[in-house]
Formats: sequence, C-alpha cells, structure tokens
Amino acid sequence: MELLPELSPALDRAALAHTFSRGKRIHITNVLTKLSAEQVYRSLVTETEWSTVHNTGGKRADLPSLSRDERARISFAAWGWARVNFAFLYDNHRLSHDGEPYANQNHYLAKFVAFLNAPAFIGFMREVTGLQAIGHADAQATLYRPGDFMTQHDAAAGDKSRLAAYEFSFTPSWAPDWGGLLEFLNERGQITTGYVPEFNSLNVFSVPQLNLVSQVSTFGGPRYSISGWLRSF
Amino acid sequence: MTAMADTTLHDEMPELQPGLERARIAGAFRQRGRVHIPGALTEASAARVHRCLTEETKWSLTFNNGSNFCDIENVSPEERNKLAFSAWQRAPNGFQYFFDNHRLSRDGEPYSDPSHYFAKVVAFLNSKPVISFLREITGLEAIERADAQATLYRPGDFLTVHDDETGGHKRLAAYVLNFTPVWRADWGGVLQFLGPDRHIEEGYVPVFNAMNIFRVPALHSVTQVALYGGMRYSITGWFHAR
Repeated sequence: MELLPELSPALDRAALAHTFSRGKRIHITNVLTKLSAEQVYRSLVTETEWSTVHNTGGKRADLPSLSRDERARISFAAWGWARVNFAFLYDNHRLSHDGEPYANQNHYLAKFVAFLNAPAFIGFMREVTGLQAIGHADAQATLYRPGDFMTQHDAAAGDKSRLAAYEFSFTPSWAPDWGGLLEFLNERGQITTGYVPEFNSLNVFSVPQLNLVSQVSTFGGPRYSISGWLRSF
Repeated sequence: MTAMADTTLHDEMPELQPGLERARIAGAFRQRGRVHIPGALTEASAARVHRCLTEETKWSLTFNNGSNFCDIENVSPEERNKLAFSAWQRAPNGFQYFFDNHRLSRDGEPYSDPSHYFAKVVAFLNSKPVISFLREITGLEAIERADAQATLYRPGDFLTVHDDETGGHKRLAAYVLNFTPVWRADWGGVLQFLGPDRHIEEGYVPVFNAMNIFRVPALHSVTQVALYGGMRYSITGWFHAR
C-alpha cells in the first residue's frame, strides 16, 4: 500500500517560525511521518530515472542514461570547470517546472508533487517563513554521487517569483564527513552554517542567500533529495 | 599576492600583524571557544612562510590504518593514489586522516636544522609575543609552548571528525595557520566545527594568512579537499601547558 506524503503532526510551528525569523533559514528534522518519508526514499531509489546535469563551459546540459565511462569523463570535465567558475554536477529528475502536476499520475512522485502544492504544505511554509505570498512549489529529485557538487551561488538567479529555496533529504544515514553539506557563506566567504542531509529533514532558506552544496566525499554515499523553490503566483 | 612575487623576502623571524584587534578577538574566542583571525602575520612574514612551505619542505605522507599511524617518505604519486583509495574505503567506518606533513616540533623544542627557515617559525610560535598573544585572547594563562607540524592537503585529502582529546597531553588550544594564496569555500579543506546536533556550527575557509584558534576538546574536522580544489598549506599544532 502506498502512503501519501504527510507532514509529521509533531512539528512545533511557532518554534520553527521563530528560528527562521532569526536566520532566514532553517533545518527541520523529522518533517514527514516516518513511513511516508521511507516511501519517498524507496521511490527515489527504485522508481526514478536519473539524468546527469552539469554546466561545464557555462552551458547547462541534461544527459539521460550515461554509461559509467561517460559519467566519469563528464565528471572530470566538471571538476575542471568548477575550479574557478559557478559549476554543478549531479543527477536529477524533473518533477514539476512550475507547480504543475507530475506527468505520470501513476507514479508515486506525482503524489509528492501534489503534496508540495497542497494547502497543508504551502500553509506550513507560509507559517514558518512568514512569506505569505508563497503560492506553489516547483520540484526536482536530485541524486548527488561521490564527487558531485554545486558551487556557491545566491539561488535567486534574477527570478522574482522565487521566494525561498527548499530541500528535503531522504538518504537513510549520512555522516558530516561525507560532504554533500548545504553550506551558507557570509560576506567574507566564511561558512556560517552547514546542514548535514539527514534522513527526513527539510531545509528552507529565503533567497538570495549565498550557499553551496559541498562536494560529496569520495568516501560518501548517494545523496537523495527533492528540492526546488517556493514561488509566488 | 604582490608580496609573493617579491624575491627580496627576508629571513627574519615571522611577526604577528601589529594591528590585530586583540580585545575583539578575545571577545569572539570567549563567546564560542574559537576564533578565525584573518591577516594574522605581517604580509612579509606570511609570504616567507609560504615560500618555505612550497619550496623548502620535504613532505611525508601521513595517514592512519585503524590505530596504526603511518608516515611514509618519498612516496610516488602512483603509490599515494593507491593508499588514498584504501583510506577512502576505511573512512566511512571510523576516524581517518590522510595528508602530507612535516614535523617541526614535537613539544616546543627547536627545529632540528637551525639553518632552515622552519627553525624561525618554531622559535616564533614559542616566542614571548605569540605565547602572550595566545594567553591574552584565550584567557588560558597556563599556555607555555607550542608544538608544530607543517601540513599539505592535496585534492582528496581529509581529516574526519574528532575532538582532539587524547590522554597524556596538556593540550589547551589548537591552532592552524593557513598559507595558500587563493582559496574558495567550494574547494573544501574547511576546518569545520560540529554542534551538539552534529550539524556544522561554523566552518573556517583556509584563506591566506588566517590563524584559527580553538579550545580543545571540540568536535571538528577538515573536510575533504574537493577534487577541483588546490594545495592547502598550513602550519598547525597545539598550545600546551607546562
């Protein structure tokens, strides 16, 4: 039986809103009911087709079904580009470009897109962030493998409809040493906070805000997330 | 960067930057038990230490295999790669480190070769101005001397989470002086501190001529230098009580 994604009933919304108001970001633990989070994880691992995305040379590329050798070659090129440029390399699967339903309604991830755009979650996000204009969420599933990363950027990209960024983490166990940390930078380029992608957590931060995903360590694991922007209409 | 190209670098003992805001630094340390001090040395001193690390240092590979601590001199790049892959395989299952180092002083004693610039670095770290600077900003009046090693983290190198609490030492505070001219947060090699919730409370990016000081024990790590990172040169150790 498939469980619908569901927010945990135990969330202390007032406390979360208070934390968010101080730092304009928050890491929320145990955000979904445990069983529904496990269901999302299973869907990401067993039912999701991944494409590799990168921007080597300054142009975004989206490459489905790469062989192992091609993926390695693309990774080396991406590491070269990342040295001094804004760069990213990871696997993704687009769920919703702008809040519209997921294409295949029989897929479990269609239920997740519906969950993200239903009043319960949108209302929760308005409450935590205080951003009453939040109307819908886009979404992509992402899989960062060892060596994958996203270098520093402010997550706004001139798009005024982006009010806040979010990321749900679904990897069952993770260690801080494994990298793949969502890190925030101050004006001097120093790291002021880093969120470890622990299972069933949700990071939310207002944009623009300088952040990066540190390279997943060569000894790290596969890092499964669903992320996107909370947008105004 | 301009000082780097200066070929007239002198061989004087390194000096602390005279303009450091000691009261502010001490305040920051007292609040968090750690502090990141940019521009810690004079520019000329930092440039000289940088040259010493990049041109005058004989590096050994250092790593652990469980509780065996290994130091290997003259390791070939191929051999180093093989050893790195093995260390990466062990890393998910326990404390692990892997980087190059060069021992400068085990317990505050002078560097073995008095004609080498490192002798002046060790003397500096154990000099009155540095020891009293450390006492002043940490409030740890018992600080007497510093041990030291030079370290070089190459892409893929790292030191996993630990707290520096080991028996038999009188370590009061740990320090790291960074000497890589250009670094980015993205390149890893970040000295990061974990909070009680095991998330990252703060991460010090190894910018040129910064000095990091933190009270021990403190849960921390050096994140793996990204495969697109650079060569991370530091001098690091502990300040000890008598």
